[in-house]
Amino acid sequence: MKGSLIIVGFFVLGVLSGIGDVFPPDFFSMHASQYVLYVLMFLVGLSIGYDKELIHSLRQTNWKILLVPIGTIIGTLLGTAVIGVFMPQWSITESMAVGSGFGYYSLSSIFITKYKGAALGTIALMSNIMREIFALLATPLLVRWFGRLAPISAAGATSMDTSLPIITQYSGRTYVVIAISHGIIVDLTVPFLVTFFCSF
Amino acid sequence: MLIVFFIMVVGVGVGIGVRSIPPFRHVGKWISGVIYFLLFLLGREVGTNDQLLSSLSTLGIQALLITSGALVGSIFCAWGIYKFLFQKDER
Repeated sequence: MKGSLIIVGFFVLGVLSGIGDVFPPDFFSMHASQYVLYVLMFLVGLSIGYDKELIHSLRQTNWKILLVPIGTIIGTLLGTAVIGVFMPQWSITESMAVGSGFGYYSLSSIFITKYKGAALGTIALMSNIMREIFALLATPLLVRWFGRLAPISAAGATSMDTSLPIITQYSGRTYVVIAISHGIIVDLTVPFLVTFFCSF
Repeated sequence: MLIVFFIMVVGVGVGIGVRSIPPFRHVGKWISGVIYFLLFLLGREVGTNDQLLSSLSTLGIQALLITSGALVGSIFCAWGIYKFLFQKDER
């Protein structure tokens, strides 16, 4: 709980500093934050290499790992289909197209804007940002309530990059390989599933 | 995307190399620090984008509905897979 609160705190602080123009616009560009992400990935790699037991457990990976991305995709599509039934503005497949972004908001919102217009594209952008933010914020609670795979599924395609550090912290380093392979597989399905559901 | 993997692989190599150096035990704390900083930047990005802020009301609610469906569905599947296939292997 404390972990999530600190995370929310930093995010809210960032929003407030943005609204209040506390820092000049060029104080820290997204270009610069890309390098911070690189530092983060380096540190995550470092923590993996430093752990002797982890590399041993990686050798015991098996077919079960493949079920995790399949579960994420089926669960997401079913969930968004149900929501689509109750949304008068959008069809079931349009709702599923938004869900098929799996947190990969830059790509999916571009696709959806192109096929379905800016309104649904904006929804896709926000929905997938929300998914990423939720995975980042709720990971400590998700692990406690729904097990160590829940943050990986919630993170969707981001389980291999932006959400990976927090998943590593709370699900444990033994789940890093699952998170990365999950992210890669889900990520690869995004362009296919988004265009597929936009074609209806 | 490739560069991110490359950087991580380099990190793994360095991590193996520094196993005998005790201060690297605290790498988990460094990771937390960087995560907090990135979240602050993500928040700042939202706060400075007027389009994102103003449209959060109408389209945002629809986005929230779709997101909750996606999350409930995927977390439920993940919970089932964890409970029946992963949990019993732990410790």
